[in-house]
Amino acid sequence: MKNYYLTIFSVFLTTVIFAQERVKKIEFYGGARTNILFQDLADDSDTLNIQKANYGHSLIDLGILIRPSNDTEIITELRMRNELGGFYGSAVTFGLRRLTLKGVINNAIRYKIGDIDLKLTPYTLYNNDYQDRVNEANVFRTAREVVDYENFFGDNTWRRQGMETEFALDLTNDNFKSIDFRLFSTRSNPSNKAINLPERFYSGGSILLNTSYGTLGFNSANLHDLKNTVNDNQLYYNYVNSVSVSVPLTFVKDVTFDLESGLSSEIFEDVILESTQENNGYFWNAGFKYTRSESQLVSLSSMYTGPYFRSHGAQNIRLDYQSQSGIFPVITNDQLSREMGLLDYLYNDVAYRKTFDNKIDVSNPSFSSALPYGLATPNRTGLAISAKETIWEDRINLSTDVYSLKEILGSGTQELKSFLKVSAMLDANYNKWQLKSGLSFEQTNRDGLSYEQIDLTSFLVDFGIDFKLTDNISLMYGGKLHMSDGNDLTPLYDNQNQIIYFNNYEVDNQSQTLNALGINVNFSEKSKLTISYNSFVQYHQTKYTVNQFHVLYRLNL
Amino acid sequence: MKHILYLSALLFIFSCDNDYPEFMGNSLNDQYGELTIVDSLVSSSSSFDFSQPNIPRYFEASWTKNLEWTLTITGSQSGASKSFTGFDSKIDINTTSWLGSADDFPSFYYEDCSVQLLLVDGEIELVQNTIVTIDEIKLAQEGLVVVADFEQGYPTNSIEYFQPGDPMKFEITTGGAAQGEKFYSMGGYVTWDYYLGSLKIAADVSALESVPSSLVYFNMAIIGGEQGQVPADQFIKIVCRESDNETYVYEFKPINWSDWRLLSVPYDEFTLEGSPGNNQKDPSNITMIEVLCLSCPAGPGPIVGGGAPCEDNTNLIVKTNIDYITFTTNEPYQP
Amino acid sequence: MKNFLILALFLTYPLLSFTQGLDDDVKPNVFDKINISGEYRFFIQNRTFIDPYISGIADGDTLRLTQREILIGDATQLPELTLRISANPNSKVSFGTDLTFWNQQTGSFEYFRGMNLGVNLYGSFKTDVGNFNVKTGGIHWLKLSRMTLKQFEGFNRYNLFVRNPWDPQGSDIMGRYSDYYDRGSIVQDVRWGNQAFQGFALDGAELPGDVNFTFLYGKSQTTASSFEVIDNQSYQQSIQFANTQFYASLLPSYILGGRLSKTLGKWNLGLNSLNGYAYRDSIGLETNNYQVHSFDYDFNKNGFSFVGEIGFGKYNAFDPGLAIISKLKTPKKYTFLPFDFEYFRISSNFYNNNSEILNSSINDGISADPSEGGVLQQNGSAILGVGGLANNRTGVSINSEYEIGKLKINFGQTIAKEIDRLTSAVTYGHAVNGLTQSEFYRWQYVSNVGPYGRWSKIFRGIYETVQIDNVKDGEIAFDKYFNSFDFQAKMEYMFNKRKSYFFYLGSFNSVQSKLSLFTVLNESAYIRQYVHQFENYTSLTNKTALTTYFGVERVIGNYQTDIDDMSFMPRNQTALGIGLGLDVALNQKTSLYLRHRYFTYEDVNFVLDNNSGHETTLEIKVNF
Repeated sequence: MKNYYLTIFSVFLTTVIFAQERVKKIEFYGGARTNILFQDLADDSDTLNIQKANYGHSLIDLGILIRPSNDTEIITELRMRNELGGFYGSAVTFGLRRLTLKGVINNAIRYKIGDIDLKLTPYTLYNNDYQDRVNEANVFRTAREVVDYENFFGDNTWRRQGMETEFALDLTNDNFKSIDFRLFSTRSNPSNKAINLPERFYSGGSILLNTSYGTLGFNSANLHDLKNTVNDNQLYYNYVNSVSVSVPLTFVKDVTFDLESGLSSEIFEDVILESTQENNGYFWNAGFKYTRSESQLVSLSSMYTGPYFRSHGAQNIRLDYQSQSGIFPVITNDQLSREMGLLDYLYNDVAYRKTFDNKIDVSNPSFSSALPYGLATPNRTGLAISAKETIWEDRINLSTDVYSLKEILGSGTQELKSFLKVSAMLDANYNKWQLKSGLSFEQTNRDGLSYEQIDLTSFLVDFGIDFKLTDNISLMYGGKLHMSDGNDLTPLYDNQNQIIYFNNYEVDNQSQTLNALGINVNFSEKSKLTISYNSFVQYHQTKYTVNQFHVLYRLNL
Repeated sequence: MKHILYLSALLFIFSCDNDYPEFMGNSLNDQYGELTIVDSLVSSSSSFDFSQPNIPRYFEASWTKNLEWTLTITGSQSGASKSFTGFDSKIDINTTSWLGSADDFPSFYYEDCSVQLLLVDGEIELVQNTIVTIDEIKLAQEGLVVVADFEQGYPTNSIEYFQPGDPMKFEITTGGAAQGEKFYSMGGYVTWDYYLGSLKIAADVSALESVPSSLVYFNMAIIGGEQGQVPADQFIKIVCRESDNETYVYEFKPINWSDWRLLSVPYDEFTLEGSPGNNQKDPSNITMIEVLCLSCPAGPGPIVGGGAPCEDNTNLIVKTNIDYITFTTNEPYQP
Repeated sequence: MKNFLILALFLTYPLLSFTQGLDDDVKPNVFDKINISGEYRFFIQNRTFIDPYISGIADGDTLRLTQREILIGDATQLPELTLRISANPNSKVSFGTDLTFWNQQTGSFEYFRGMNLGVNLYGSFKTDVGNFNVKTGGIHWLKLSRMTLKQFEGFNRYNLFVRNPWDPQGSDIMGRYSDYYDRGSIVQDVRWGNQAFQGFALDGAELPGDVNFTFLYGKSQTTASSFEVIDNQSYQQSIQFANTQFYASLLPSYILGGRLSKTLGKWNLGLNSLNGYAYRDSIGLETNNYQVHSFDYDFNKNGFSFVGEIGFGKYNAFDPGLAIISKLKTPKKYTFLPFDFEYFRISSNFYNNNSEILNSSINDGISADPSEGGVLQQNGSAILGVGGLANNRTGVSINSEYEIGKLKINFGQTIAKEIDRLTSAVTYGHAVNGLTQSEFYRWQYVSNVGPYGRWSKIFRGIYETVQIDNVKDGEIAFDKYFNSFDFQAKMEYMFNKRKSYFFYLGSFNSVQSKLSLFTVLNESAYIRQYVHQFENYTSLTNKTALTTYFGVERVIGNYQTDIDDMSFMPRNQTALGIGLGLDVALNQKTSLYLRHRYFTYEDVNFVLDNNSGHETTLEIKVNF
């Protein structure tokens, strides 16, 4: 018996020993960036407002990896920045971008504390993509990557602050292989006694069962207040749980059945009146995916997202459409407020949401009416088709997505809106040429009485073409076109996410174009110098043009 | 195993019930629909007899969208007013049932009343009118004890006193009363004393026996004068003397309105003044009620009781007229 | 039961998947190497007045500076600790910054942190058509040509007794003095002769046709931006990364320029252009633009050197102005002494504050405050010394040198004349006590201050403005001629078997209404300025050096200059500086510099212009 225990203990010890390797105690990483913009609002007749803007910055993000031991790592990222035009330290700021502790316990349980990036499924926790692009040109993508980096938009994750742990159970069974666990808890806001704001957390996780038949997962994402952290007045809870299944069909080759279905509950508790208001909802998304090879994929799915389904970690819009840029906020001698557009979303100081709360974000129907909050958009049901193919020796990639949806419950009327969303993308390269293009089309309709009728069409085109002068230098052209025409009635929500009003939204042949011509020098995959000239034209209540010269030098960022 | 997965998936899909309202949010019709009258304003009958409270008196109308509505009934002689409000697309017995009371003094009398329905939809207003006649005014409130209504002149065994100021007006006045036709005027101009005058009324409130003081309400109609013509700080003091000589007082301060208003106070809010007796409020033992008219004197010269004169009150004539002094049980008086 | 639990523990443990350590996430690309260097400089100064400086008059009373002042830390921007950090993400790119830290020793634990030159990014790439270097970000010290982007370097005639904050430090305590004696110059900081530039700079070399180019787009100190208060708190909470809210104005003010150069045989030729764009008003309707284009050449043969530049500049709607600077250097072999002859003629319409050429003729409407783009330089008709250039001026300079044994002598003279009669003011710098006097206004850049309102502060100096009575019938009736003569002698000698050095520098300047071949020494000159500076550096041991200084400066005005209301006489100033110091090398990387200076400044006719005192500074500098 003793020998038996000794053997087991030896195995234990050996695994621990073999897991260790010698690593450096302190290492540095990071990068730097220079971003310079010169913008010109081309309107000679305007004699009251500033017409030109020139600004920029240089910064270094210095990351430090500290390894006090082999299984613990501290990551911190320091930022040092100076604004363009500030000499001898007159416009210098310092900041912290990240502080995270990572570790492994017994080589089995992994944990992270501090700044962490989280993602679950598109219905539970997901950072939805931008709405003003569909396969945009490289000349814009370099600027977009700066927005991604600054706002921590990496691969649809949310940057949160809290803790996370992962571990797995190896089931050592032919059919049931393992169970992966992932749990997290993050802080949304601290308590504030002055305004009776309770402590709020966002917690959840996933459990994934890997089997030879497929996978079965359980996901949970919950936004919840903690009681008794202040003199409780109003408390809020949002629970979202889902089950996901992915099963390769045995009777049809290369076909997988995917399903995710779940429930949500949103609770507003009034502690003083001892009352609660609760909204419950559910969703499901089921479909088949045919993957003949890595280069061919077709999927067909059916979806239903209930009108009261609430999942704030997934129902979000990155851009705050109500934010206003400080660049040329007022135009013409009539002092009109300048409407934001594609140029602002990509280059200027509009606000992107780095976090989410319990309010439904304001959407812009011109950019997305069918699924403004991604797949988790409530009150939608219908079909979705996706296809992807690579042809001609991998030189051409094609993909398309089609959504045909309608409301489940009318908005202010019994009539239902119907939506058609079509997007298509093309990537091609030949010799020194590279082409990227994309098209997104949306149509929203509703019949009924005159004040109920809706007819909104929007159109977004991305086009880019690059020519390689040398291995490192390429000329780039990019274009974006957005058009929108028609009307919609957009809901206004109260503090309890109930619709209280419908705003009349009208656009009359609004269009905006953004063109860019630039040169790109690649020092390495992550170090690039891009110099471009952009021209932006917006036609709506008034027409205006902004011309821009942009220098962006990124080192390792 | 795989079949279990398929079945559970299917079950999940079809297991949920849909229990949804007609649509989400407020009706678009309410927001953007056109406002038109469907049924015009009508009353349940052309004349209202409020002496029979079991027969409902109400009004009806309907229109095309939910909005804020206001129904106002105005007495042509008394000037009494009663209003109903709501948010709906119709009015009926549930929302406009009227028992003959007014929102405040004056009370309705035997008179014609104009009825107006106002519908507001943004900048659009629609008005509907009708007329009803009050054949019988409402019955007296259950448990109502009238101390003085001045309709027959001074109450029995009442004592009036007022200072030798100039001018002074302490008298019964006809016309423009809060209730009925007559009321008691109290006011004048006294430069050396807060006290202008008072009316003591012998009261018989024995009907309130065994009613706890917390459920007894003292009610009185009071009217002041136009601001700038009367002192801003003029006030009335009510003194209730009980049989054990305990005196409980209450002040209505200031009297700065110029239309009849009902002032209703639970007897529990009166405070003891002077020596205690049994140290307990017994409303049914009230034997005397005195109403004092008071205001800071303008001076010049020494002030009775000490203190500084209020020069701002120079040449401002005090006016604190009263009417319909009552006690009620459980609730304030309903004009 | 216990056995069962132990067994269960050891059996389930292997079921836990190995999580592959910490390497699951995308691992950042760590740097192979990060470079950290810098210097620490402790600086403390004690100033005690015997006769405190009068800063002004108020209600009939004189306002004087306090008797004593202690400064810890340098007021001229250089910090206590500079930490230079740089890294190379790959062989082609690098970035760096210089973090600065200050312990202000106020007793309340306030520490200042910032950057001096900012964040700098570099990159290089080679192509078939040439090699390119990119510089972006914070301050880079660059130059194009004398008329476009450059600082005046002079003829290496200066005194070494007063140390500059950026003076490099070597292992030899006498190295600085011996270099100056041996080579006529000392190792200077990277900023020497260059201008500060922020933005984007691209250099290209070995292009087809053997052409090199430089392209600049960004800001110089003359187009600096002004900012609202920036603090780290508001930055951290900034909702967007453009930080436009920190700018007091987003209106563009920038320079755009470049240089194209080529070598043809013995000729080095260059085409230069510098264009400045800014606005005078708050909404961008009134421009403040200038353009300068020039052609420069450099020919060398047999020791002769023919160097020069021809260009023209245009300011706003003014007519273009021509500028010519041409220099001939002759070798000793052919002319007995090496000579440096220079001719210059610079139109009054030539304007470029980024060049060597001082603007003395155009009112550009820019505040003198550097934070608003003001340039810290003398204006009006300035006495510039030998070789100094200004617009609205023409003249010649000659410089030469010779040695007699261990005695090295160099001298130079400039004769110049204003081209157009534009101003009645003349300015001159205070040579002997200028730095001390600039520290009377330690944290400000003031103009027209002092008891008579005629002092203006520049970086580490003071200049004084003189009004000249040369107007007749509403017009300036006389030309102004400038003469400057510098004479320097350097001697090496042995003391205690160690090399020691003695330096003398004399400067003689005058401004008058007639042409003169030499500095005017009588009252016909509006202003005469004579400066004598003696320095001695004696090596006491391998690690210590004794430094001494004596300087005297005389400035005399004639009756056509400002007259005092009380004495009815013109300025008659005497400035004296007597210094004693010690340099000590504490170790190979650390040195201590102690200086004590007695200063006086007196004007016998303008009696309020009097001050005297003692100034002691201690500097400890460490390199790492």
